[in-house]
Amino acid sequence: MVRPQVEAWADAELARRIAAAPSGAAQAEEAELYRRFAPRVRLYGLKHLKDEAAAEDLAQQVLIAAIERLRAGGVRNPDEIASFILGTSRLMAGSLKRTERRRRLLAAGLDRTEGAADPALDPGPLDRARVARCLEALPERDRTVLVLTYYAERAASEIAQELDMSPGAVRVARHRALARLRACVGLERSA
Amino acid sequence: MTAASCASPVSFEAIADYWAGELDPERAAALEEHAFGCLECQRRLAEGRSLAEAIAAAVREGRLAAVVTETVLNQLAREGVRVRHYALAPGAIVPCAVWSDDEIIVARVRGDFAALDSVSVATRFESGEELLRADDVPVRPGQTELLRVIPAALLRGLPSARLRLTVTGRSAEGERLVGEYVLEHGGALERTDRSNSS
Repeated sequence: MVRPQVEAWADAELARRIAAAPSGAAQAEEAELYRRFAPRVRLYGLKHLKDEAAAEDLAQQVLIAAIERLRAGGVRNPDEIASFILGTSRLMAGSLKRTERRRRLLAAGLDRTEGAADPALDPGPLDRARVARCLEALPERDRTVLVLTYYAERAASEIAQELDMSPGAVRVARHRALARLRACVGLERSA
Repeated sequence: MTAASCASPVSFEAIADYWAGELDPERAAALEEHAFGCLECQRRLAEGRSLAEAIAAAVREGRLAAVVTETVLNQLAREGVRVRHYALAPGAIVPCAVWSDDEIIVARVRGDFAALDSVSVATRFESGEELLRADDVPVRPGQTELLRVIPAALLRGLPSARLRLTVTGRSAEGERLVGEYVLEHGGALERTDRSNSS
């Protein structure tokens, strides 16, 4: 198991090793790169595609494409691998085709290495009952702002109108309330 | 597993706005650029998403007891959440029940909220014991009803009982009673074959 060593390398080091190895030979490095970046691309996908399955697809497609490019020496600057992967995410976010993805997965010899949520990177789903209690502990107006923002997906200007506040006050309430919620559910760690 | 600490972490405000879809595109792109290469900020960004998602889930799954707005009810309707409404007028006694497939109960509490800044809504049993309470609920000029959301699961766990809602208003002039409302809760009604859920 060379994994511990692989884990210690910086992103750029991983990328350089994949690029330098004969195509497909740096398996541990590729798996590590996948493990690190799939959750980041997935998060990007959640934001821009607003769909769990699509975000998952995007993460796989982007990582496979990035690894293929690295293998082929097509990444000009492996030191900038994070930027390269983000750029690839942006390009690919528009066009997602499931069947295409399957074909490429098989062709690339990468099984579903499934970026199992890394708790250091992603807290994953929160305790629902606890979140509800924490929401209920917020002042009425703050909670309403959070609900209108993140559930009803209203803009600050719309919320301002509905609650008879200024848009600036809505944003302030949003920041304050989300920070309080974060502390209440125990996400906040000491810096 | 400590993520490398970041010299200039993305602000939590920016993360809140990012997931609200209200960070301007250039700042959002810069935030993504930074967070992609920074474990610490990646984690913070993921936290923001988890929180936003958990808020939506709490509402959607009927876990939240709160006063809401019409916009929230419209969204619930669009998503096909089963919401049962009861309209309450001051002094009225309204029979109500919770069906096994109800997810959310909404009490539409009508009243004269004129010249009030905020109201409190207390929901009590006949014994005086408090079931729910909402304080400092802002009211707007011209508002004629208050939308009080109660998780159906909460009511389903109750025996038949008389619930009294007391709405008290507050303004610069002091406090005044807006109204008292009675819900005659008939218990949980089963449409499907399910016994003693609590």
